[in-house]
Amino acid sequence: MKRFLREAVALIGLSLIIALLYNAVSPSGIRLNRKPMPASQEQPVQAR
Amino acid sequence: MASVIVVVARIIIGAIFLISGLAKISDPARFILTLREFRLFPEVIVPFTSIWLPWFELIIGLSVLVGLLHRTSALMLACLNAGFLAAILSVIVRGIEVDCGCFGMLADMLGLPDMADMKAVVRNIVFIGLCLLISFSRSKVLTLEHYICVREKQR
Repeated sequence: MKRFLREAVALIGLSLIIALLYNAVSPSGIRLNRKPMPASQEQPVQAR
Repeated sequence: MASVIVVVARIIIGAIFLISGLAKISDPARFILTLREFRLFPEVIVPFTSIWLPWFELIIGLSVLVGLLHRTSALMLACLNAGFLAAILSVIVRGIEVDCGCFGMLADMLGLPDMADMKAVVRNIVFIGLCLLISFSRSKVLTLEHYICVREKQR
């Protein structure tokens, strides 16, 4: 049980580190700390 | 004979999750939309989950395939699949028709059905069975762990 927990934590930690590093360098990465835009800066949506 | 079945199960499960992880990593925007469509997670954790989950699938899939920490990885895959199963059942019960997002853009490329329906439920149950088989088997045939043990003994 202890061994399983140790290995599980190692695998989760490894995947977390790789995922965050890849997301930081990838051009298609998702921004995690995006703040909501203030209403005054929002662009009006134009009808097509 | 039992060892052969475990090796075949490892190849099937490992390859499926490796490919599934790669397909999701290559198109993160699509995966984030799929997670939102499920309406299960709070918006705060959706971006984080969409970044981490594909890599988690890829790493534990690779681990099962090569046979390094494969028993732990298989047990974690069984838990992951149980989570997917619960998510799919919840959208079926709520009557929401969504793409299950299991294979990302690969499903479109190959024209595979990828809806969150009863077929996906059955597929997940089969995956859970195979993962538990790998996890509870003590077979070390064709594993990297076995190779490392042999090398250690030779020294």
